[in-house]
Amino acid sequence: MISGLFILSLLSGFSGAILSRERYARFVSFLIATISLALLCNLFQNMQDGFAQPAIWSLLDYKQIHINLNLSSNAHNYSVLFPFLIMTFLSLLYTYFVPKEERRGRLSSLMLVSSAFLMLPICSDNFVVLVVGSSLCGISGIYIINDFSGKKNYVFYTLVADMSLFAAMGIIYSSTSNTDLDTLSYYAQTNQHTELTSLLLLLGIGIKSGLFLFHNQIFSYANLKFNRLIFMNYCVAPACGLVIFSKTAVLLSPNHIGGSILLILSFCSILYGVIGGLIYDNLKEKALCLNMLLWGFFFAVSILFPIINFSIFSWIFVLFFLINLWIAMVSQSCSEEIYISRLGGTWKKLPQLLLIAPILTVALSQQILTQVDSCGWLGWGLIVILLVIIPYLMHQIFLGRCECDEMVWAFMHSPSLFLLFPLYALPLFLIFQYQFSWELVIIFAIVILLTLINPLQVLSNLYERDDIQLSDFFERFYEVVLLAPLSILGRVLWLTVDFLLIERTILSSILHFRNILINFSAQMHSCQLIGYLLTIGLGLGIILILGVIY
Amino acid sequence: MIENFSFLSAIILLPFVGMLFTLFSREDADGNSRNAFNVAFLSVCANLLLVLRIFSNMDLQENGLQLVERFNWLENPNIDIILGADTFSIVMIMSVHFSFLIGMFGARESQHLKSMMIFALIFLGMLTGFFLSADIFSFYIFFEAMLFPLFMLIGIFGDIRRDGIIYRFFLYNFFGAVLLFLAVIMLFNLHDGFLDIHKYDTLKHQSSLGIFVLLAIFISCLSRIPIWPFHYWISSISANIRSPLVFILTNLLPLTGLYGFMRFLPNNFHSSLVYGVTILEIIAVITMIFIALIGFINRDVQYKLFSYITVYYIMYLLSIINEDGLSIMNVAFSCFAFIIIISVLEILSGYLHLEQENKGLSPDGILCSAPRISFIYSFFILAAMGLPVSSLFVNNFLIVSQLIEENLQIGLIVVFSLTLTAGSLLKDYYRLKDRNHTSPNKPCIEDISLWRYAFGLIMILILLYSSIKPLWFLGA
Repeated sequence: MISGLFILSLLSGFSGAILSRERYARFVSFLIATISLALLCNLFQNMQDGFAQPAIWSLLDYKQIHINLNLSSNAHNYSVLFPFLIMTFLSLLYTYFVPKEERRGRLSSLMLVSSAFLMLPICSDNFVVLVVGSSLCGISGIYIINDFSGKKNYVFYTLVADMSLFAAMGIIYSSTSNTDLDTLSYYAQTNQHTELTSLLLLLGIGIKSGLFLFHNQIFSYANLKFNRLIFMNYCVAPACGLVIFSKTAVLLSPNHIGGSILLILSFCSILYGVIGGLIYDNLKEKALCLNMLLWGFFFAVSILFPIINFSIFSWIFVLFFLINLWIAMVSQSCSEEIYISRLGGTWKKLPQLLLIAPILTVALSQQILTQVDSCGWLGWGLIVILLVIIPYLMHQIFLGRCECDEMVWAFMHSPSLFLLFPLYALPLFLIFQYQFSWELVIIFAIVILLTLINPLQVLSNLYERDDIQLSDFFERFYEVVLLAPLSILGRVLWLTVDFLLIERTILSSILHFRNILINFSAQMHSCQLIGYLLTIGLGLGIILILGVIY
Repeated sequence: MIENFSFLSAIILLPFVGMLFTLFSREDADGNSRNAFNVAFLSVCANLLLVLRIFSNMDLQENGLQLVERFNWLENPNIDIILGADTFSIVMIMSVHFSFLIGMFGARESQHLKSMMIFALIFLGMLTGFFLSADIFSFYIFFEAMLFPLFMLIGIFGDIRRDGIIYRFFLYNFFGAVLLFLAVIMLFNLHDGFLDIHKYDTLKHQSSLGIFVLLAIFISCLSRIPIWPFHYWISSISANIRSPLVFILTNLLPLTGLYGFMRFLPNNFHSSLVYGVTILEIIAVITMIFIALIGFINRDVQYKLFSYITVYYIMYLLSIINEDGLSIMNVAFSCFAFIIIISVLEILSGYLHLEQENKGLSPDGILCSAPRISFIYSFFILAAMGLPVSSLFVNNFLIVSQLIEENLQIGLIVVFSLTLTAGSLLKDYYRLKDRNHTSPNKPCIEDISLWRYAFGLIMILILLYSSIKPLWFLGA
């Protein structure tokens, strides 16, 4: 049951993180991966058996608010959780094998903790736990990122996302006095700041998922190793974004302004993902663009064809995850080379990796075709996009002229069978499990054909363009549009209000007035004529004032 | 016998007894005041135990005053000193004691430790007395008397600009003191020897004098809260005092203003007060944004902390003004976590400042070589951000919801200010963590000792547990 999985993951994750020493890092990593596999098997078994059990605990009991922690086992929760647990296990497996990983045991433990926290929003039935779970998952992400600038970006974006979700939930609670997610459909009809709420939700979900305009933080993962990058992309913040969206979708329908903007951002993300996937030289950035494309696709489909059933996307997520893993293995096999322009002609040394991409494309296309009624024309669109990007990548990695460094070429090796197994097994299992159609054969043929022809060869010239490859337009954009005005305003206020008004005007005047009073009383007490006159004048003044009053 | 024991008087008096022992404690041969520190520490711990004992005597479901103690002070006029406690005041006393203990850990290596402990214990006693005062005279006496030890602490531990700071401190508080004095005298005379604060709401404030009394009390309370233009004296102290304990004690002072508001704010405003409250709300939110923005651009961590503290106090003030009968305890629970967080952040930043001064380092990247302090610091920064690792999260959520219900704009400005101050603390934290400024040749700071680390971890556990059980110390 899910509550048991949650507790076990949390306990083993925290124990691993606390007890892990560098000496036993590999062992801890292996242990955590094994535990994760056991948990996955348990979940799968329960899912197959249709095991259902309520598990609700009182988390907080105030006079005005009761918050329950719901970790009930049911078919819906299983179906949402299942792909994330598969991806967690694969990430752990990859983490165990990846060479020169820093503090491997601690990383694996944190990954397991993160996946435990992800169960909270997935199973939540009230929005406080939804936000708490996604925040906790986000916090675990902070410790998974081991790059300074990436971490910094991530924390700032997480702060803004969490605060916007916090404000959105505050508005909803102030209107409904209820934290149940079921009340959202009622709230959506009340017209009490619903547009504002949908905008705040959009901000929170957009940032967590790294949609266009908020993708900066996701791109700062490019400095991480592939295993961290992929896990962060699929099992931490974007996963929380998707879950939050699926639970609050009623406020993000196209009828609400937030929903409309989210739709636009989703299409922009797809576009950015396609363009970035083609023009970026860095393999990690290419992977990130593919992910952006996927999240854009998910949101666009969910808004345009609102059948909010997470399970239809489950295998699509897992297969995209495998594409990321495939890119990671290519890089790892080539001595961690991350620039695609420095690869090429590697098919002789990496034939096992060559076949994975077309199989993954076929499996993905099959999944999309299976769900084409739910996805509509967007499904066909995604297949076309995949047929553009994957062959382009394959050609540049495996075919064409070899641009590899001599050392890279010399050390080039195929990844271990342990790692290759899931990459082959999972898509092949899916292909044979689901209906095999003639379209899939055509798609396979097109992938091979386009890989050989490479009609987009001309785009590889863009790899030389530093203005494209090193562009940080959005970072500068936010600095100029958001941070600079805040800083200027703060400085101006400080100078005018604190310094000029209070220090130099009010306090200074009081100080001078005090000096005048001291001088005045000193004069009064001096044995001179002016002193007598002042004393008499003061006395008369007091008599006059009292006379007027009474 | 234990039923007849005057617990409330005891927790006021115990810090003074501790102060006397501290005063007569002998210094070591090398001039260390370790004895004074230990005595003070024991006094605070003993008092904390007494506070916990008081909690077990209280009925938490009851709203009114409990454990009332009455002492006759004067026969003619007949003035009684009344002490009493409710859950809110005891949670405040608990918070203050915790922050005091945390502050003591930061002050352990200070110079003039003995004087610091003496005045700090006096302050603690006064503050405890203030939260327990149930009549207007003891309220006034404790409200003003707690300024004396603080005045001395600022005088002794202030930096080279201490004259200016003391001047501002005196000016603003004198203003508040005069007004409160007038209000107390008028209240006593206008209402035939009125004493009991908790019956204040039953009085009629229709006359202009009655309204003047109310305004005088509010303004004197406002002079303690960092709201424009009163924020200036606290900001001056916060930016110029490097002693963590003095910083913490100074920043506990606004609690007295909030408490005064809570006690004296009538449930039904007189019509002429409604406008005043609206104006106060406007000033409050403007101050909030203003201080949050200044904190955002300021590079001084003390000022950043001050701006964070200001935003929180103003949020609590707004919540108390818009009180709906349920939110007071949210303020108390949020405050409990908030005070622990700021106290720990202050002692950590004080420690880093000291290390910087001693080793001539710049703050950039200073945390890279100190994993223990880095972990504790990062956790408390996350807690300060309002993430769900302390009782700040849920209680802030309820407070913000209540504010939004009253006025959407105010609620959103509060959220914006909270984000801005949290962002400014984060900015500072990442400056301390910036590895780009470290080099192998650069000297490193010494990490905190194991027992300090353990203390930090205990604080983390308290925060975590208080997020789901705010009254954990009772098992309630």
